[in-house]
Amino acid sequence: MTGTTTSTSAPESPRRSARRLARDLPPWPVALLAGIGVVLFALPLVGLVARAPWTGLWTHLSSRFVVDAAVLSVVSSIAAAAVAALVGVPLAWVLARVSFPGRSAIRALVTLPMVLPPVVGGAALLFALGRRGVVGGPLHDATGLLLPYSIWGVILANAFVATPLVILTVEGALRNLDRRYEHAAATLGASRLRVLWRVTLPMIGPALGVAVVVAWARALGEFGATVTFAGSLGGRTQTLPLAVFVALESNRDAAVAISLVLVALSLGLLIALSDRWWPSR
Amino acid sequence: MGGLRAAMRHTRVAILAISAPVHAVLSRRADRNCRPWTRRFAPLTLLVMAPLADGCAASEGDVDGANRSGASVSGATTLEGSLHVLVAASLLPVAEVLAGDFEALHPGVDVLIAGAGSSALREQVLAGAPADVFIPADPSHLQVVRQEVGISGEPAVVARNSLALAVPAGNDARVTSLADLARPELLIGLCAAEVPCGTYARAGLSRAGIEPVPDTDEPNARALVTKLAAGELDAAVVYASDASTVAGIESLGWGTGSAPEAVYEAAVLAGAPNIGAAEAFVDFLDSAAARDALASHGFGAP
Repeated sequence: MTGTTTSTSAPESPRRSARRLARDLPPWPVALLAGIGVVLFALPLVGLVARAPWTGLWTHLSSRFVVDAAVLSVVSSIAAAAVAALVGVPLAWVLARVSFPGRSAIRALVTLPMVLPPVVGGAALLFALGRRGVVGGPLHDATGLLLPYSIWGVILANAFVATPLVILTVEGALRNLDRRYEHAAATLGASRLRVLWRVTLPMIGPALGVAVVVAWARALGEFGATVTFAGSLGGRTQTLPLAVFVALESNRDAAVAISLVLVALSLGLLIALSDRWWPSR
Repeated sequence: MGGLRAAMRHTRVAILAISAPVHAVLSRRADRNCRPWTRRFAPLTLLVMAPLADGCAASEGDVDGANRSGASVSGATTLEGSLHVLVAASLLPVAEVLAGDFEALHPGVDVLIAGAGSSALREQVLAGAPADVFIPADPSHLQVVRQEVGISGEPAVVARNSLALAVPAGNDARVTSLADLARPELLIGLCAAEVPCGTYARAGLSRAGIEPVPDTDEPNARALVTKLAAGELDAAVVYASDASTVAGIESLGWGTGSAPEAVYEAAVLAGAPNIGAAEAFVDFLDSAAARDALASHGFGAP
């Protein structure tokens, strides 16, 4: 349709020189500070591993309240990641493609949960969607539906904090997308929805995958919004992070065992993903 | 001894900037602390302070009797620095008031209150949080701290509390007694069994022969009261102090038999960075002014 005059200044040469620089040894202050950074992040893991009750690990992990919490965590975090993708991708598309007044404000609004203390987010959800909430009140009166103290509340709280990660990642991918492919498809007669489905989404597929997995990991680790909005009850709303928090005060070995599982899971995931973020080739 | 250590810790930072006032402070403190020659050679102490402070603390660190005598004169001397007080979540509202009153008496002291579930605070202390005073809602947490970290002197009972059945204002669910806590159709909240308000509540309910069906086990008393006051629960077992003072909730008392009682004991932690102010604070909690504040927040006298 439109005669695309995208000025694609060949990205090869700067990228190549950047690659050459990356092979160089870092200046010593950089190496020192980077080393301190590594220690900073590695130290807590060392503490956790040192504290771990290795002999009774399985006993702790197979106890009733841990299994309940694990099942709830897996189910609710996957559901939250699905919600995050379902809401986040369209939002990202609108933010990346549609120019409208107040776009920056909308972007700030939908990414706010990333920087907001989760407890504040949970309290806000409670005041909005609780039984006496602005929206939750009429909803409860009309349908009897009650989000807090249920798995729906957990999923909502998790999705609330996880969706911004999808929005930011996918919006970035959409902005970096070479739009000529979409234009070509449109020129060939594809409808907008078809372009989105057959061209755009497949092209941002890797970024979308990363976004969803990161959102899932964030949901899996969510604590503050969940406990504030959905409460904490074993078998119903007590996810793994909540179980860790409670167990830390009564059964520290179990808490450390759960923490190890969460760390192993998240670390494995991030290592698996790092190739997608930073292609080594 | 502890006072000197605390003073030095605070002054060490500011030493280059305000060396003259530091001399004055050090010499005043030296009167009742550690070694008299620190007064005569105040300028010298600036040079050799760090090692001496540590040696001083190590040699006379844990003598309870001596600490107490230091505390008795502390009202007359100038206390300063920040004072970290860890309080049970249920004490939080009144603790802020008490902190303000104490600061008015000792303008040099900055009282920093941290409130959370007593068991969470206990874990913080065991993990080495630099706190001066610990006031859990259940003396058993203080016992653990006493054994593993140590406390200075004896714990003092500073307040009492009891538990009560409470409902949000209006009582829409028409809750009348503890027995309603077993009604599954109501939204019931308790504190988690790990924190004192949960421990007390469960013990009391089991004595009353009631099996509650909670919809949430909140991690501390304040979180539970917040949800109740927001009307997001139909009934909860909370502290009587909260039930009678927090806006938006009504107390129904305990009803059957005697309500479970909570005892608040305050103790100065063995490694308290500001031991002088810590002892003065614990003493202050026994004053008429402090008792008035506690009573007006629904707490019972020790």
